Amino acid sequence: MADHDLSMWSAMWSVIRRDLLISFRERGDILQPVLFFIIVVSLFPLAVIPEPQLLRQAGPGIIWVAALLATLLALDGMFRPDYEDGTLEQIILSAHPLSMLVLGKVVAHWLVAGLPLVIISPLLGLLMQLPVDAIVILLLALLLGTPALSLLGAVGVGLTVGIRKSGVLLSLVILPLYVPVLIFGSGAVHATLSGLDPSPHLLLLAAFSLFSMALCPLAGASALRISVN
Amino acid sequence: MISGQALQIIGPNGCGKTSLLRILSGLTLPAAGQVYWGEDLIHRSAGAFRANLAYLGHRPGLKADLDPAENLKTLLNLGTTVADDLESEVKQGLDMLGISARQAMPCRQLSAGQKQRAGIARVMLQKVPLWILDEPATSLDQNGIGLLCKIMHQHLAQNGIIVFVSHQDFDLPAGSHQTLDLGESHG
Repeated sequence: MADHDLSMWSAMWSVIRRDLLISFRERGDILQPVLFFIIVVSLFPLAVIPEPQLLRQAGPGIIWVAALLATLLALDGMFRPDYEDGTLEQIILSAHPLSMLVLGKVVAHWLVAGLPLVIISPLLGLLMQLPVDAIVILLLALLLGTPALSLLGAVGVGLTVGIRKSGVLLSLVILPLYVPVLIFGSGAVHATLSGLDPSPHLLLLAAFSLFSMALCPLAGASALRISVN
Repeated sequence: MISGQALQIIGPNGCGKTSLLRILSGLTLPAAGQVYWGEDLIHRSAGAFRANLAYLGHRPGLKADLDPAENLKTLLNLGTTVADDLESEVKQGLDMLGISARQAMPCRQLSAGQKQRAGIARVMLQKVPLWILDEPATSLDQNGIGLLCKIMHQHLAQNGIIVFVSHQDFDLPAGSHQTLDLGESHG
């Protein structure tokens, strides 16, 4: 049995490594969500009155909404290319639990599409006139919240991968599920801005991500099986 | 089906040959009827069934950005028993199918026939008893079809089972080759 477990981890690792290698060879695709994130956030100071006080109030919300949209933009790439070239069939026909392989795909996707958003966020915090302590909390909140975005996204993409031009449908399925992450994520930064303790928000975000990690790979696996049926 | 036997499925376009293969491989759930592997329903003991199955569909399952060897290594890693010297096995397999010269090229630059050959190499290297092949001879040249035939011979000689769809006539050992015409049953 130990042998079997080992080969399951190596299967999962080979999925992660393959996706990272492909992303590395298609570097332009990695940059897209990050650039989108930066541009959307930097449009707001131009569109509204560039009053530091106003930006500080709206900043956390704007950054989080932009992060949601940037994640959504990259989601389709999680399973659609695999669906189109037939590798998804091979992944589904693997003797290993599909949920673990789905988790592998989500991990690779988060490293490529989620982590860069977290890393770039302090810069956008500065743009939004956030004080340093709020920027630290913003970074932490994104770090804890974006894995849930990728995990929930896997279920949505799994359900819609068999449908052509599923972009709008995917947003309709996924964005409502992102609401808790949005509320606690921007709530944590707002709490810091008002001098309150942000840890309840952060803990709830972490709990939500862990909960997603337990359920979403299973749901995503079932969704994929239905989609290729 | 029994060990050492090949079943060729023929029939007019659109009569459900691919659907039948997808049902047999467990990708599609049948509307009626059940598929057994040995004594077990394939959906009950899916893991055990899949550990014995190699499936080659219309799309050979290669990522366009990776070269054939990288593709094969990833796919073979999805199996339950992975060879210790995977690297050299993949090289040998690709050599045998005649695409080693293009090993370092991303698959997007390969021709359809080359990709099909890489797909066949993958099935061969999976080293499992049951092969389900959907039009394995697609885009292959005469030499490629000869190679495919030889590989199928070897698999049957090792007591493998092959279910395949093809309009091509395959020169397989007479005693172990059956044909199922899906067109006939519909009249």
